[in-house]
Amino acid sequence: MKLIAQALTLAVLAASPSTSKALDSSNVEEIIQRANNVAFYQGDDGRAETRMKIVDGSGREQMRQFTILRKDLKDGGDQLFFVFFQRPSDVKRTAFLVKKHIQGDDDRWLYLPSLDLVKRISAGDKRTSFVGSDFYYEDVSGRALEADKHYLVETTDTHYIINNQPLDPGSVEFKHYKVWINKQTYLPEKTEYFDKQEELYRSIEALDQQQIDGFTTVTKMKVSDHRTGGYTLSEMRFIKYNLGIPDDVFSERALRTPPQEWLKRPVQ
Amino acid sequence: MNKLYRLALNLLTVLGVSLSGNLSANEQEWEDWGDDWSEEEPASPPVIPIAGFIEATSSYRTKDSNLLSEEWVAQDLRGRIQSYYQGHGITASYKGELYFDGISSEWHGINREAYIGFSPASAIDVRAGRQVLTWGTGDLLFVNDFFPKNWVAFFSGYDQQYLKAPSDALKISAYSEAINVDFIWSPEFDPDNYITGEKLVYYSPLAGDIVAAPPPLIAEKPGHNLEDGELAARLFKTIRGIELATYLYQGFYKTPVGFDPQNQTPYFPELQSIGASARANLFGGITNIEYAYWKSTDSDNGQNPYVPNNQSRLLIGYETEVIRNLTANFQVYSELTHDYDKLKQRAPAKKDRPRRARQVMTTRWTLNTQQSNLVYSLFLFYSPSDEDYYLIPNVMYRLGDNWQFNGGANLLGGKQNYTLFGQMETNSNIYLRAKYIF
Repeated sequence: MKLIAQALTLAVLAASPSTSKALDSSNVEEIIQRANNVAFYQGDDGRAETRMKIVDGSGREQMRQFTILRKDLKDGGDQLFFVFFQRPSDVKRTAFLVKKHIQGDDDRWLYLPSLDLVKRISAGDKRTSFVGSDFYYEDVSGRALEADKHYLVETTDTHYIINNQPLDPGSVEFKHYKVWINKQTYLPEKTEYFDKQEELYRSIEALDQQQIDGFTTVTKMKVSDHRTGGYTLSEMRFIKYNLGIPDDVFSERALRTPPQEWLKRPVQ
Repeated sequence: MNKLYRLALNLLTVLGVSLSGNLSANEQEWEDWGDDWSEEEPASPPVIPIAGFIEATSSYRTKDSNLLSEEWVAQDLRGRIQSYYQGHGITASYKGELYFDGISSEWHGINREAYIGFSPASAIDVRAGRQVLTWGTGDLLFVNDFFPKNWVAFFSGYDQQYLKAPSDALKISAYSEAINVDFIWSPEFDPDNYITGEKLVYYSPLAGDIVAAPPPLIAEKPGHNLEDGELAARLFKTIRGIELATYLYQGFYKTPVGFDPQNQTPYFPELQSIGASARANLFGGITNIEYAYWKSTDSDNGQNPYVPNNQSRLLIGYETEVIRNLTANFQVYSELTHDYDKLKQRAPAKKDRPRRARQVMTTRWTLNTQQSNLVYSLFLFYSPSDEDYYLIPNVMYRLGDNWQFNGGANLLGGKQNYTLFGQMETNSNIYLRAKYIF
């Protein structure tokens, strides 16, 4: 009996390095695809409450608090997002709806409650500040994998380190960026952006992670702007996956009349 | 001894604080959010949260007006409290304001929002009470939106949210796979807050010149009967990212553009409108088109000289991000007056009638800097047919979560003193606003 167990353990031990080896050498694309799914496509849908503390170079602070609903139409493909703001008080009830398309421009709407205005906003540059924070839109909804060339530059005991070079350097502010992907969880735990002078000017770190509904989930993040000294801390709570959110929640109706059923905190 | 004891205690406290501070500086940074965000759902709903702001607005007239002696267009201090509740299947919103008008030295109070919303069935939303209502695709141009507007606030340099005045209305929305419907009933007519000559001057067709109060422009309102209310409906649907809508309106012109020869007073003539709009992601930006046919019921196809003729109104717009953080919007808008030959007969003088086709072009440029804490914007209306313009430059600065400052101008002018913007040349002003948000 004991022997069988030992044999099994050995088999497992033998098997695991070989599988990771297969990924190490041959398939960068598979690594980044898995990392993309872990970072942006966990479950079929999900909700989270997010708080951001935005600190500028001179130490002045601002807060944002909002609830995000997300639904994947296809893993690694099109997604729906609904963002409902609670703080600060002048943007309370402001809502943001995004239909993310892998092919073609995203559809984006903003609801301004003081005017009862549903404003459609042009897809625009995704590397601009998300709600005034150091996060970019792209950091929140994911960057198209086809936008960069990916190179596995190093494999440590714990991480795959991938270098990413943009196919269209004119469309972005970085020369390249490096991502540290956890070998066990495939979670991108650190991203560093370098400018034309090879200077590190921006980084994103996952500072805390938890298992939620069986999914590895980042619950604390920090984006740092090394040029200004400013940074944004982001914390996510009340996370839940696979709620069964219907497509029609991501509509003009939700912008004007917030969908209470899905915004309320889930029973933990 | 006692003193020493206290000193030691203080020292310990200080040391303790700094020690714990040192140990958990990082932890504290995460915890210091200014309020509680606990894991537990409160058993009973918390005290309804109150928020609001205090805002000071000052606008100074930039052109001498020989009609108004007051150099200030606006000077007021305003306090707002607001609360929003969502739970137990209902939503409720209240926004109230109290303000001191420094020009007239008077206090005023207004309930800007006071409504309750609920869903009697899963696909139906009802909202009843005082509410701000908006639809349509234009940017500061309204083709199918007949909800009340506050033009005095808009031209005086107030926050742009005040352009929309509230309605006392019942709104019923129904949603389905096939089509969505909004139906809005205002039992009593809600006019625009139009220019009366008190703080802003206007062109009076009766006087044939620019006039100011006294007397202010007072118009005869529709009565209080059931048929004197307003009905507005919208049918809408989004198909593959294209937002389509049709609109219906039964009510009245929102400004007193009619004249009652019997009572010798201006009034709000009856108006019916039917329109449509489409909006989509196109050519790397947002493209929109909107049309409406305005039927001036009392005009009798151009027979009645005291009310406007029927009109067709068409708007085409495009908005795109030109470069990172710089957005540009362009609109071309046209008003075509029907039965124009009859109008020409009854109003031979050019200044007594609109152009057969009045055109307006607009452009808005917005530059976001410092993560949206410093925003420069410029809005220009220019009418090639009326040869007049309206330019609104603005700079917004946000300092933390609590302070917002705006500085800008409303610059109007034109070749003639009877066109829409030309008549308001001496209303031109520069403004400053400071807002403390809590």
